[in-house]
Amino acid sequence: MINFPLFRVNIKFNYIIWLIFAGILLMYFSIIASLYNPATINSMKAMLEALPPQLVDAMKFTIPDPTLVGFLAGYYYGFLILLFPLVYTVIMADRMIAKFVDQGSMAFLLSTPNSRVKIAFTQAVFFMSSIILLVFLLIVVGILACESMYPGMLDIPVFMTINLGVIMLYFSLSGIGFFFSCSFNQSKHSLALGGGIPVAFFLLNLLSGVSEEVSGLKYLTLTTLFDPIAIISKSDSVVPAFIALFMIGLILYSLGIYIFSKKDLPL
Amino acid sequence: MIKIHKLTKNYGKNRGVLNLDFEIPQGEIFGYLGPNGAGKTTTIRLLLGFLNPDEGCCVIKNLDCRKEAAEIQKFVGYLPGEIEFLDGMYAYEFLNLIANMRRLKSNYKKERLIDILELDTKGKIRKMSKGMKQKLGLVAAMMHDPEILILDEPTSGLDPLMQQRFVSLIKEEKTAGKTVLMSSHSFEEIEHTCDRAGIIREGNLVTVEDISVLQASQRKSYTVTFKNSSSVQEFLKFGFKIMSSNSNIVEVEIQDNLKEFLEVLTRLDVIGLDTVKLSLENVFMQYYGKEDKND
Repeated sequence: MINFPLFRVNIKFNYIIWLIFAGILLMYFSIIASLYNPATINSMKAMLEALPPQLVDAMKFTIPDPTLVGFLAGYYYGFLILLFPLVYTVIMADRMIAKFVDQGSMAFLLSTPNSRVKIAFTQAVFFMSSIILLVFLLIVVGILACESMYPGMLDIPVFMTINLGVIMLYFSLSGIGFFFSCSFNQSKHSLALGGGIPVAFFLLNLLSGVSEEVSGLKYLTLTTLFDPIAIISKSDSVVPAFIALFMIGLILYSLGIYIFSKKDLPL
Repeated sequence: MIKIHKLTKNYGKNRGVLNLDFEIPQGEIFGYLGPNGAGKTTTIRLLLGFLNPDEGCCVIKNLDCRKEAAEIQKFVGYLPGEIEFLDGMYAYEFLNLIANMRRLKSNYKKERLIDILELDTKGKIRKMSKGMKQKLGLVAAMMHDPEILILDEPTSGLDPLMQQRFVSLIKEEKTAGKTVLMSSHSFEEIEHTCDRAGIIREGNLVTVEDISVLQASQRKSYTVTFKNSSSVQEFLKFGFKIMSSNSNIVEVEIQDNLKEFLEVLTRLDVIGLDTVKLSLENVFMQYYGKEDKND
């Protein structure tokens, strides 16, 4: 169902970008994790209270839960995880399909006996597996780092569920980029919408935290469906939110592949 | 082998192709001629299944070009008109990628083509000259020894020696019973290789003819440079068809009166004689024996 030579070429073309983002994600994770100190958590709370509350809310730097996983959920999964992988997906989505079409090299790929569906599906599988691998690495390094710094203090099942949520979130967000990458023949258009919409979601997410009056903005962004705090409190909303994110991703990826298989290509 | 039936893809403003109808039998080398923007590349994109026809269809070996594009690629080799490769690859890496995507077993043809075309596969594609990229494209299109070749302006960017090598390659393919469609905007490029040619203009197929017929209908133009204007005056009296005259230089059109023309020239003070290369427009205007109203 996928074309392995093409898959391997994707690895070759993109591993440097992937390594950079993996490095950034792991670096920030270890910095945040190393800041955790159950004894000083209250003094940190006091420090945050000294800052303008709007700023703190916008950055989602809230500590709802004094446990290690709660600390990570507040500091790392509330903001940083919405930023860096988002940039990664925006850059990569365009490189999956639109770039090849814009550049013209798609002509050579399609002059091999592989259908458009197979080519696009291969790209989709590569894209998603690169994201899953990124999160998988974060899980492994995260658990190892936490266990070495704070033995036995990390709630591993909850930590893994949060990361599963990250995968679901990015399945749907990357689906947006992939959909536009398949739809447009020019990189600039694919980047404008495939990048613009996820970035708008990110900004809406920030704005919705600023004050009560604009909190309704959270209903306009997909990122609301990923709520690490709700995962920790084992809220009933978690499973439906995961399913919704998964379905949105599935629909966008499928639609993208379908459009790519049907459209006129200027090759 | 290749059948095009009432094929229409209309982009408006004389772009695209309108109601094309022609067939290419097995073993034929078919030249597809037309000025830039006439619809050659659109036809080829339709044959490769990159575009959805507005109307009509094209069929290769009884497979629909759009719906069964992937299946067709098993026995078709394609050279795009505007060649763009994947960024940052070496030539050999690119050839390996395409070979692997095709599940190509034998490297024999690939090595042979690299040899004949003197392609340097160790270089980075980005740093290659246009001619070298063209050669790489040709190797990629032909290395799986396809039954059918669809080549969009295959000789553009090639130096004269490589053009010759290309011509002998195509003749070899013909001997092996391959079918070839190659597009071009110049008659000279295809007259030595093709059996038949189709001429397309503003999306309409103007004619499909044997190359020999097209050649026979071709009139030739010569420019004669005389030493002085009195010779020019004398020459004009003989009543040849004068295309233009500019001080001592006269352009004459000669069809079957070449002998008479040469005899006249020997009696006059001639200091130069050149043949005029005919543009494609001229070729088919001559074929129809009418002038282009637009010019």
